[in-house]
Amino acid sequence: MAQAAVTQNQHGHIADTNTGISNRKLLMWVFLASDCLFFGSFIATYLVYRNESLVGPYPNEVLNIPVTSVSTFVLLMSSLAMVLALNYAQKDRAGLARFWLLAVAALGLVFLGFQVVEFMTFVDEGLTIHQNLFGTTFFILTGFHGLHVFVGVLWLLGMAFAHFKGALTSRSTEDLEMAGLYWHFVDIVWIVIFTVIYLIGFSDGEGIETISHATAIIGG
Amino acid sequence: MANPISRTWRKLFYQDGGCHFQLPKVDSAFPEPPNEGPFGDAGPQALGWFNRLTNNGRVATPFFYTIIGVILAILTVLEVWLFTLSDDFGAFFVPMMLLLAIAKFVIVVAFFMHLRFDKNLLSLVFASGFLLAIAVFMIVLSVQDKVNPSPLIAP
Repeated sequence: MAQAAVTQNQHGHIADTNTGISNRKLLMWVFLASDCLFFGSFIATYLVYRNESLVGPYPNEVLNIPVTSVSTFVLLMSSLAMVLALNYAQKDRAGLARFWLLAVAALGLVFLGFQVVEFMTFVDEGLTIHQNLFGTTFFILTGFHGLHVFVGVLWLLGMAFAHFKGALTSRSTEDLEMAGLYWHFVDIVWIVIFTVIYLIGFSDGEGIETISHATAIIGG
Repeated sequence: MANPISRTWRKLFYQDGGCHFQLPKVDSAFPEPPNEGPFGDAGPQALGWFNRLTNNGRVATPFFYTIIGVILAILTVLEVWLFTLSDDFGAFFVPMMLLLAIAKFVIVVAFFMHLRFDKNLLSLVFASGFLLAIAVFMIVLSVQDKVNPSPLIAP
């Protein structure tokens, strides 16, 4: 007969399950694993239709690497803030945990602001979701990522204002851990998008024609 | 009495009078070292330090996470810098970018998402989903010519 094992994980939580892992945490990881398929499919679709657009604007005409680098840095630092929030929450330092949690939400909003400005600039330059294959695959991929970030921001703000009103409990710490896992996942998806779509895909132009990355950046 | 620098110098490079240099007493200096590898016990020692730093059932400190954050920031700056020099790297540019992205991905998953500290089952769950995604990714790319045979379907 299977007997539930009561084990203590490294964060001091007691998980009364066969695996010794909280069921909610295990479920969160299963969800994140399935989300890999979600974003993997969109990235693969982007690459399949790479350089297949017959009309512009093309990536080398619209992508702004310096601005996107800043937004990438912002999202990366939000991950650091998230792990610090969880670390302080686990040590019952509610004030510091709340500070870093609000910092994560603020950095997430800054990232979303960058994305909204980027999308509006693209539309001004003639790139819409139905303009060409680049527009369709780009907006679908980055749009869904932005939607994930938006959901994450709402989640974190909700936690900051609801769960942290009173004293920290082990339950709310686990809630924060779930939100943290989700947020870090959003970050690693952006790490892949930034590299594949922006840095590697920047040279994509009309057909198979490519231009110099450095020349385009310098504006020469 | 000799000053500390002189004392250290003597300890490291002077003979002890018995025709032997006073070498540091490490495991690999003994006739049958317990953890001998290609570089003595340097490998096991380094692995031990890494394990003590990142595992052993402890929660990492805010300082540790900050160091990880700085490393991630440096890798991002490196990525963008290499991007501006992409013409110089030619065919090596894409593999270099992918390697840097993989490094950042692994660092975030291992330390920020705590897979380095958590039970292996969670790593297994995530790795299985991730590898399945990579498999789908590769299959889609391998049939690229079949799904998109001509530019007539564009824009």
